[in-house]
Amino acid sequence: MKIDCIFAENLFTFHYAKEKNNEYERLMDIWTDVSYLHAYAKRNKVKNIYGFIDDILKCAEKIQDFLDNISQNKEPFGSYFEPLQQSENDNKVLALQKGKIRKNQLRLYAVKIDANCFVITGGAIKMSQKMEDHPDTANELEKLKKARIYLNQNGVFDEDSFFELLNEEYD
Amino acid sequence: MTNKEKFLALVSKEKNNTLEKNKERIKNRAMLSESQQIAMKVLKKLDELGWTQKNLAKAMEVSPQHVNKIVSGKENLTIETQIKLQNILDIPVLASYYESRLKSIEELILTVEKKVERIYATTNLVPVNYQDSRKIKMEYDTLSGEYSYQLAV
Repeated sequence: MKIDCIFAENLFTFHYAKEKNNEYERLMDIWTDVSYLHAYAKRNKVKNIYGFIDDILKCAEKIQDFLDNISQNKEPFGSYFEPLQQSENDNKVLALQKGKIRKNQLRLYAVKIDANCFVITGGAIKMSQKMEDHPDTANELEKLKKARIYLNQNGVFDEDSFFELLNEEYD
Repeated sequence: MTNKEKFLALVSKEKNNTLEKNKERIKNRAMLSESQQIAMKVLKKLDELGWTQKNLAKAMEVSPQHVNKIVSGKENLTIETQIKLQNILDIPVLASYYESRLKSIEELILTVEKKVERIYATTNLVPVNYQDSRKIKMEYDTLSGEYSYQLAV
């Protein structure tokens, strides 16, 4: 497992040992692969297969545009990453975050290192209300937890960041 | 050592080009979008025909890997490949698909008009509301490539 920097010191992504690409590139590859989306829609018994594929392709383009925009400092990070669960906001430095653009069916999941620093752990097509209710998002939840453990084991959790979190909560 | 510094120490020193690849996707979007639309038409037609990608590879005389690339919607398809797909699957890929269909419709209209003229010539009847040419309203379904047409009111 390694961590790749996407840009500056703000956005990072995990690159898992078994994967050829880091998580952002891996997800963008499958979310723009018509054949993959076609099989995915069939496997998930989507009624309007081609409408679904079209939607996902457009959603992926929005994420590409977004990443390009924030890399040029056109949008603040906060507009994209939001807390995954309310409980994650309470006195936890490494908050689990999900990347969400309004009405986008795609999700990028990330661990928050500080107010303006995130590391992407994975992502999924949102197929259910709760993450636990679909195997893909349930798996992503596990990846988020493992990432947090990995970071904790490497000492990425201290008083400084606790202080930062308090600042953030009072913002 | 701050939390952020500890985190940065874990980050790979190897250079990656994720951001450049992202820019490349945006730059090539128009081409990719066309390729994706073709991939969808191909997959839809394969579903309708009950064909596998191997069947298509055989009919196109290409490798299954080539078909796999076509249906991924990421390939910059050559005109030769597009013509093969259009002819074998009878799906609209190139402008020639529409042009040849339009031509055959025009020929059909001409034949009908000539037949009508002949009928009136032989019967010596002149219809009150007969027109030499008629307007036809066509509606086209982009995915199926099917036309539906009717006489415009």
